[in-house]
Amino acid sequence: MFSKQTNEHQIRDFILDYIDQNLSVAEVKSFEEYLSNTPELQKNVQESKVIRDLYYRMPVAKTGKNFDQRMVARFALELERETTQRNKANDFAELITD
Amino acid sequence: MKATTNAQLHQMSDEDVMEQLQAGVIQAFDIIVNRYKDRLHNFLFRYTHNHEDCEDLVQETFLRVYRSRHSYERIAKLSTWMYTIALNLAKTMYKKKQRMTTISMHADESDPDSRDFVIEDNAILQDDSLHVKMCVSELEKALLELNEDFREVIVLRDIQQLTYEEIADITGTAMGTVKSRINRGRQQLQDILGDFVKSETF
Repeated sequence: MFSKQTNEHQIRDFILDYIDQNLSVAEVKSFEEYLSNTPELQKNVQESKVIRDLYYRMPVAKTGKNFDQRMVARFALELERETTQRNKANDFAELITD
Repeated sequence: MKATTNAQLHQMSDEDVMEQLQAGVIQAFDIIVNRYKDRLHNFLFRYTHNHEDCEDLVQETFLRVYRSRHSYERIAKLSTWMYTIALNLAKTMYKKKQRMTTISMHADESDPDSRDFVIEDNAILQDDSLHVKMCVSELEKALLELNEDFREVIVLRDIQQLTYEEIADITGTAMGTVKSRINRGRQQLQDILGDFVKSETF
């Protein structure tokens, strides 16, 4: 599956799919064989997998307890602004038709 | 026209909820906010590292979604559209402030809303590995050191877990470019992290 003719983009795609675990068993076997002959790339791929695993342990940042209250207030202002604009536009339209 | 109930809105897909908002159903806005507030916060926090700034950006994203609701077309996923808005806001803020070069993982005393992270993966507490915690902390810092083009695709792929197609849509780049940037971004992260990610240490 892999040879010296395998181009840079194909290798890149295999690296991404390997890290994402999107390769078939046969593809994994072939790719790992290829990696064992390219130690530098093998090291890079292993380290990428380590980093990928670290993301799962990364703390999740969530909105605070006052977020909803502040959002409601900002949205109310937005609706008010929209209503004012609409009224102004209506007043102007009436003025023109009068 | 028959009014849509709140319960019905909750059952709808994002795109259907957006359609309701376009039709003037204001409750649809709350549904969108509830579905996306934490996802967007976790995304934008990688740019701000400040909860107050981050929440402002998340709120601004939602307000822009509302203001631009009529320009949304169903051909795009609502999430993709929203991430595009959020990313543009984050970039604008980043350019304005240019203060993301140093970060602290400790509580920010100037941030009134500062609080501890929520750790969802209990494994980290169980194995209590100081090394892993240090690595995660270093990874947070390393992400901020990444070239901006690399960081956005890495965060969207590895943290937000979006597909390559979605990332291409959000960043306005070709899928091949997205893949190359992810690959190169990961290599750059390895260079920054150095010994922290030597595979034999895990």
